[in-house]
Amino acid sequence: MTGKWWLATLLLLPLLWILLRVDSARVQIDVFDSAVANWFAGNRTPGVTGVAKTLNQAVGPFAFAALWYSTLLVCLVFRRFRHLLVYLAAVIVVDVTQATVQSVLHRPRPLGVSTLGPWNDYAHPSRVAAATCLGYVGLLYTAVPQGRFRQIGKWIATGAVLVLVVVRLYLNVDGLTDLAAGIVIGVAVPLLAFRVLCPNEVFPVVYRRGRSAHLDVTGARGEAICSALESQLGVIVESVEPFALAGSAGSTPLRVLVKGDPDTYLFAKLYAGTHLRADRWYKLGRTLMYGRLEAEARFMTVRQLVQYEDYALRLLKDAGINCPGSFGIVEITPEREYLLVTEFADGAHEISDADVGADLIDQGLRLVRQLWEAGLAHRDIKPSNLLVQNGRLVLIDPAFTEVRPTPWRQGVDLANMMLVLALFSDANSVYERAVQYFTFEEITEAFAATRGLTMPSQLRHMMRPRGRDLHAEFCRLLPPFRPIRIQRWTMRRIMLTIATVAVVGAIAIGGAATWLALGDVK
Amino acid sequence: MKRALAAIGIAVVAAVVLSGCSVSIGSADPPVCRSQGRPGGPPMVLMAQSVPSASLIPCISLVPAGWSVQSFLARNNRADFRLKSDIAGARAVDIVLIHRCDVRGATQVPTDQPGTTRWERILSINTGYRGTRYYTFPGGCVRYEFKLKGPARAAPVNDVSLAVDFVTRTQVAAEVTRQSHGRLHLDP
Repeated sequence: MTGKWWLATLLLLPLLWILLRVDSARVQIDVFDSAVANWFAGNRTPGVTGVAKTLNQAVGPFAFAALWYSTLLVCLVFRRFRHLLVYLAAVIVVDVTQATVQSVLHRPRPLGVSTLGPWNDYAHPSRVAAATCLGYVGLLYTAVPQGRFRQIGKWIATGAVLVLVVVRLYLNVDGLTDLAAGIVIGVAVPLLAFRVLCPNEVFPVVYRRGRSAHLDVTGARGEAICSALESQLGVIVESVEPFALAGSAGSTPLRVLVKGDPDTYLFAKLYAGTHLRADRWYKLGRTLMYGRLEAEARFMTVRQLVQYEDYALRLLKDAGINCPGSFGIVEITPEREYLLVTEFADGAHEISDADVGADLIDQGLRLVRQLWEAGLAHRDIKPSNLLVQNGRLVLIDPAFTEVRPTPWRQGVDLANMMLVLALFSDANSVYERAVQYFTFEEITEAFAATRGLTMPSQLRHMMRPRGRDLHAEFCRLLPPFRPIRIQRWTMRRIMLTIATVAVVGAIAIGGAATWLALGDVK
Repeated sequence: MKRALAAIGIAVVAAVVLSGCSVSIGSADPPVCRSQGRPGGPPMVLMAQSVPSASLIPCISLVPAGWSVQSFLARNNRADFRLKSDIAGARAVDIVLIHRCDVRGATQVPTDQPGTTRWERILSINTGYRGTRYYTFPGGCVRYEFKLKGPARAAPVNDVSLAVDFVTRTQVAAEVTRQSHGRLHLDP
């Protein structure tokens, strides 16, 4: 809500700037600012002046540096690089805006009153106010978790900025209108940048490990979900609750209880604009890191995103693969929020909790063979996407499924499946079963194409504490082979890499340089 | 087509982002002596505020061919602008308004600006011309820092003498009062 107010105020600023270009209006504003400055000047006393000068010249720059270095440090230590880049971009936008406005408006300090402190360049908008607000907003949105603490932080920042305003007015180093404009720019720009490019729902500031893509499904959204499910799928909803959040990063997974005899659970995945943006960044990252192996086009709308997963699920089903059947897509808000509803694998648990014997190993290997024969690659074979329900292996989450993939990509699916199965049994048993379904050449090529990067991170993380290098164990069972160079450079990857490095570097260097320039606001 | 558009978009973003590095150097809006035929445009008011005691304010009366104003920056106790020359270099001369100058070692010469005392200190004439000129007057001082390059040596100094003039603080204050119909005054 406050974001909308700040946006509205920001949009009103150009109106003020137009008024400042009209002589009659400018004189009125000048007279008002001078009257305020005169009032403060009339109440100056030696003691208060000393305190104000100290606050302005000693405490001010220290607080400024503290805000900047704290933000930088927090972002680097907690690896919030996205927050950092958004922040640096906001710094640049604020500085460009204020420099442009200053050079157009040419506004002096309030006239007829002596100035008692250091100042720089034209007065409107106040650089100090903008930089200080930018510092506070930056720290609050990169270091303080949303909720009570951030709210308290906002009140503290408000108090500090008010003190700054009073001090600057008292010393007549800024006019009231100039301070107000500086505050609006310094708050609104980073606030909007964080809310649009780093929404808390997707990129929360937390100090614990966990997934972060989850939307709140209570309140108005919860009611909308129930209503949409009832009108579009014809079910009567008893309850909707988040489910297995830890295993999902790209959507908000839900368990829906619907009326029946007996009541039945459905599984649903909620997709919104935040997930679409996260998916784009994820795909950009995969393209940059893995090259042609993972190069893929991004989705343009949430509808496309959810449609693709529904399509992939139906493809897998048609190929005879044991996966949850789709009930279809439910529209919550057109083009903004959609729900993909599927069967709920009742009583299923992750393969990591199952007793992986010969039967499950066979099922896993057959599943990969089915994928190959159907011309599909799942591309995300990891423990959390392999469930065991009544002894049967269920493959879930086909969001990254690719049709007609390269043989390497199919090989990576095989190697990852063998690694998952071996993780909960042993490499020898899996290998012995695998040769029943795949040739030596196919298995060898699979492991030749699979290295650290191409293994899902969950799989890598699960292998590490067990102290087992399963990849090496399999390699020992296979004839000697030369690893396949999967890092192939295409023109698209080269251009994307150059553009990304240029933009990230420019934002980082430009932001840091601009901040240093802002820091020189005496 | 989409890729081309994306590439153009990225280039534009990069250009905008990179341009952010070069702002905040100081406004290059020239402090001209007369704005719309009257003394005391916004840069002059800002200069007057920067050295409140100065009875004279330096300004640009005309820009000779081959010269341009490169930067203008005002802050408390100091205001300066830089003139760039096609022949004498990008940092040909800095004009600095301050409260007081140290003229020790400089030679007093006849002044060309009424109400001022002029001093000259020549540092080098071997390659180009390096020297300092001072105008002292009640409440302030204007320093010309010459760093002229090229074979013309001190010849462009005359261009600078023609380009830079002074207006009185009283004139600037009168214009502020006139524009506000008597409601605003430059000084307390």
